[in-house]
Amino acid sequence: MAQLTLTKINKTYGEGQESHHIIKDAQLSINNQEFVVFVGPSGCGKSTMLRMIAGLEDISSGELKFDDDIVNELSPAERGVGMVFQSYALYPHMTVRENIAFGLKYTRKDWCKKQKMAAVEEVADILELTALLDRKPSDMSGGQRQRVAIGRALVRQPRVFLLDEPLSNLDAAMRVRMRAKIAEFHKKFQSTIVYVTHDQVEAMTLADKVVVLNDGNIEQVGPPLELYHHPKTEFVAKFIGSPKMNIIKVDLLEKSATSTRFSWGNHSVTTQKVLPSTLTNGQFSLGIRPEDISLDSSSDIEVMVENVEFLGAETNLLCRCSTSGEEMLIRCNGTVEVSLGQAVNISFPDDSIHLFCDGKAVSIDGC
Amino acid sequence: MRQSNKLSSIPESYYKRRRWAKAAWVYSALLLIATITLGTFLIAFMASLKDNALSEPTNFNFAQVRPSNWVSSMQLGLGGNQAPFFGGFSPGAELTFSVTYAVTNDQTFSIPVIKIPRRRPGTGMAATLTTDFAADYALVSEPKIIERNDNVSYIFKRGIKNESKQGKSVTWQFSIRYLGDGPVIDTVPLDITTPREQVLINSSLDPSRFERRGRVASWVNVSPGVIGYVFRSYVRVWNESVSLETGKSMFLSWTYNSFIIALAKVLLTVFIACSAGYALARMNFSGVRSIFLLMIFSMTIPGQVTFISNYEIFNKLGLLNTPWAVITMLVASGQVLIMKQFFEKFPKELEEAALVDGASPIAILWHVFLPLAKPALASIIILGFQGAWNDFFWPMVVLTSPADIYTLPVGLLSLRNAYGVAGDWSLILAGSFLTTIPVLIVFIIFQKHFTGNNIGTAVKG
Repeated sequence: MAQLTLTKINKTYGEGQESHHIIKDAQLSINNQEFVVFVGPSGCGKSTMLRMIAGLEDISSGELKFDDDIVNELSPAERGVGMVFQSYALYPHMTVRENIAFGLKYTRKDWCKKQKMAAVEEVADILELTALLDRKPSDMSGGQRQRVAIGRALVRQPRVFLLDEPLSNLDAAMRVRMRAKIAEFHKKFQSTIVYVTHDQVEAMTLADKVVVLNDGNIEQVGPPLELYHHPKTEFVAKFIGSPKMNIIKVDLLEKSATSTRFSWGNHSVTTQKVLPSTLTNGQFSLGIRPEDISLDSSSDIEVMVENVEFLGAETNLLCRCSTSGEEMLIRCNGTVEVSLGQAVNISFPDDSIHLFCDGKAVSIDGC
Repeated sequence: MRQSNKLSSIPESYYKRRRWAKAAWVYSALLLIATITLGTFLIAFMASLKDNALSEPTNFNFAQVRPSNWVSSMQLGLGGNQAPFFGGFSPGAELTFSVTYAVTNDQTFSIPVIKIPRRRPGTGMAATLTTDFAADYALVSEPKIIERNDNVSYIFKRGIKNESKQGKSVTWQFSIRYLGDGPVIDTVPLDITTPREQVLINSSLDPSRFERRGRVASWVNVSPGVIGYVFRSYVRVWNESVSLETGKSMFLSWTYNSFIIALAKVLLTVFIACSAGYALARMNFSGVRSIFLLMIFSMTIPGQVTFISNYEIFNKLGLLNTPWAVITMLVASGQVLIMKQFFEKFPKELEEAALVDGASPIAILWHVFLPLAKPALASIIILGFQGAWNDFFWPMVVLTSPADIYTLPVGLLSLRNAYGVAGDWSLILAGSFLTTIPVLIVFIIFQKHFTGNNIGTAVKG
């Protein structure tokens, strides 16, 4: 198991005018035994970052350390990584046993045959693959292949475990089960895991630490709930949480030592949040999570219901602000009765407001 | 609504007929293709059995396919050498032979003149080695009349015309005995001479040919055994390709040479194709593209353009008249191309997984790529083996003497040249057929790998 340190890691493709800057000055440290999830929209560079850690992709500049060793120039096997690919990439002509044992041939040369076989059996036992050891990948289901791919990485006892969207080829039910399994493995082996996904549910449920990437930049690093409650940027605010956070562009009306007033359309909102004195202009926006908004007839913010999604336990209302035209999603409990085109009044508690200026979270009250 | 009514009114038999018609089209097309491709093969095979491969018109009812001749050739082989399959003439042998002649009613029979000529057994190079002749050991008895028939119809050949005639016939029987002690002799030729009008209408064994406008009926061997009779040319290929120095059949050494050369060439081709194909498909080094283009370009140069300079090079290297001169003359661009295209279809993740597992590029090629490339390898092996096996021009240039270093195609040419004439086509056809057998075996072994691969199961589920 190892601790990973990424210092000013860059990745560029091509040269001169044609060059693409994929990863920009990534700075990250991953602690020993930590479960880190890279999450972000497609094309944000999360897979590239993982492949650079794996050693499958050259690092254009910067320094990658495993513990105290600089591993920039080492091959994947020398780094001691184990990797699970999105497509599993099992060797089709080998049985499960051979697939799992393949890596041992090269990385555990000091082991005798018996030891290797014992290691394979042990891993198969953990992954419930014992009955399948003599089957070929073509005779197996997606979930079983996935487990073989995990076993193949696990058997070599790698320093770092890398998983590249391992669940995206599975069906929904299997995904939930495998997610639980992966969490279980992590608890059991206490390994350092780097996991890439575009699914923020996986990120939230599995991670000790989530790394949100956007367009080659690390937007925010932190535990899942911190990301949820204290997003540092508008991007993270929108990306984490489902359904995503409502962002309302607002104008600063008034700022005092005790409160701040914003307006949008005909509406205005007063909050107890105090802006730092240095901040006077810029594009402000308010972020409110759909679950924080409540229907409140005493409020003077009126919106029109444009679409209603009954999900059973809860109901999502897609509304539009009658005056400013802002779209807003409200999540209320399943018993609420609303119809299309109905006007409803909404309110939200003061402490659920996230305040952003030029895309960045505004630190309030000096915190 | 109307449409569906219309459809439902069509009887089931219509669909049945349509299915059958479809099947009939498919199978008759396949049958046609099979007939065209196999037909030429069959005709050539039949011709290789005939006494005269070029006999016109082409027919499938010739002496060697008639069961009556199989029986009598077997009996004669037994009589001559106690050998029903390969025949021969050994001390103590007694062959009983009968011939039936016919004439018109107004003519009289004359007793046929029976002679065993001193004739070499064939036209191949080794026929000159024959020192023992049946004529020196055989005694032919006086022919006895054993049967008469006063009413027969027979065909008299006048030039290319056949005339039907009515008349009488007589059957003579005679025996050929081996006098005293001596060597076993392979063939017992026989000539029987009669007047022009006296026509041979039946005999124990059909004559091989008629000479002197039908006066002389000639048999190349009256003690052949059934294989020696039906597959005479094949036996001759074996017997008449004997080395003049060692006396051993060179056909075997030609086969051996061809096999070793083809095997070495295939191994070398597979090695080059796999390693170069892998490098071109999967390794990013500068100049990949120009190497590839150069390789493609090299395919456009015919061997005949460079053979003189190549000959000089091999001459200087001292490799002429060695198998190495043929083995190292290798153009594998096409095979490299096949492997490159095949490897490019492999998912990149498969290679990366092996890389993460610690395998070196050579290990990846050997343990992951090659086992998955069996279909491509099979095609390379079959095509390469066939190409090397049939290669004629370059081996003919560099393999000149002694004759037992030839490959099969060059050896076949030497059969044709025994007396400096193009003639004995049965012999050459038979030799050609024998040379196709190893290629067939290779094909049968490797064809099952053509069924495709399961590369699709490497990724996704």
